[in-house]
Amino acid sequence: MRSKKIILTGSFGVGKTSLFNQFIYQEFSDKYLTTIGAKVNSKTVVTEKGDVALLVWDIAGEITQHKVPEAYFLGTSGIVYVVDLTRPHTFTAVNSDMAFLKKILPDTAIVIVGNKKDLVSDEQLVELAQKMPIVWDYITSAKTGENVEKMFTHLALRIF
Amino acid sequence: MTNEKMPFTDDNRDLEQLKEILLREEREALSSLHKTIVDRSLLESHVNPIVEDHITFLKENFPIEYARVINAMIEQKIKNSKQEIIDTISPMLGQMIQKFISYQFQIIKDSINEQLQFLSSPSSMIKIFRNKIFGISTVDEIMSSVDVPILEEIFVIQRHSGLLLGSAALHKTLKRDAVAGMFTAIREFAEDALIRDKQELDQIQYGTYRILLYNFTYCYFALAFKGSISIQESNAHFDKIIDFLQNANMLHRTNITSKEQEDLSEQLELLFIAPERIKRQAVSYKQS
Repeated sequence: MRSKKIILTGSFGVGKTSLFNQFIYQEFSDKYLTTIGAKVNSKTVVTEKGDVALLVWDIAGEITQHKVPEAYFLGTSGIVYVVDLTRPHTFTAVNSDMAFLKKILPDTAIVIVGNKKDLVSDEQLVELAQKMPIVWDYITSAKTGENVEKMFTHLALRIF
Repeated sequence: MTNEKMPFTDDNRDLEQLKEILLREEREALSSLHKTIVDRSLLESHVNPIVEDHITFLKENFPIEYARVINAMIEQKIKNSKQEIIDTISPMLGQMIQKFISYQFQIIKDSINEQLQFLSSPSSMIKIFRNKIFGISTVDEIMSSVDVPILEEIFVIQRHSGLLLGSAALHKTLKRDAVAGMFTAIREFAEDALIRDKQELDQIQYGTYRILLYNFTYCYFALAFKGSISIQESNAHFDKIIDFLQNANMLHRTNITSKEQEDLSEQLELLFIAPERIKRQAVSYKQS
């Protein structure tokens, strides 16, 4: 079975840890958790091409401010960049963050995820899409689990 | 006697005037007192100094006045909660003592190992030989039967990515790949935040467990020991790892197959964990 490292990144409070928990443990914690450093866990996903053991790194911090040890990103096959749909200011650094990630990890698959779908209406989503400088790949809800498994499975398929 | 008012006669008027004259001072005093009670600021100006004096007195004399009562209350409370306090403190004390003993053993062992190296001179050999004849065991023999470090788990982990390349353990453990990832995260964090001059994290201590990290270009080894381990023992494991690496060229590649990972794990079991199983059996036999 193949093993791949993927990392979850994005601003504070966008729901990285909730996505991590939802994917690994199928649970959602309503308690706000500020991640300190990194938390790592693994899960095997079944894809059309075969099984992949994903080693998921939940990383805290604003990536472009170099607060995160750069070594955390090394050896990464896929990145999940998370923004918070209820806080549009978490979109603002998307372009510069993408440039930073592509510079240090040129061949890595990146998916942009708008999280907390359960807190916005369809009309609001249309408005938010116009504000977003880059098109998101997935809209997820860590609370309900909507699209979480699907997003990770598609990423696993891309990096297989 | 009725409540009806008396007719307002001259006598009554005189009486009223007399009362007015005689009670003027009392009435004024009463009025002033009433005003003082009703007016908050006036009342405060009178009462506050008294309260403040009392507070100052309490501050100064609290231990004298109330210490005995409070001490008695605390004593009673402790007496009633004795079991809860023991339950809370005991594990912490136990851990501290265990950690301290383990650390002291390690110091003693290192010192003994140094002594034994010194004792390998011809004159010392005679002494050891004499001890053997008289059935006197060496300190090392005594120590090894008391505190033998056991290698519980071994991991070979890809550098940076933290992907697990191979592992073996004395006991079945779950999610070894996640453990390998966390080791890597801790290692990268410590090196980035704390260690300067391109040094590398070479050990993590947790309770009586010690995780030794042996770093190489493409991968690193994490060996989890229970018990104290001397520098000599650590060096012996390093030599074994070097031998292992000579037959593991695939570790230089990034795309190691599942079959190769399984082979690596089997080799780790044979070289590192199987001898530990024998050692553990020997120790338990010796102790029994």
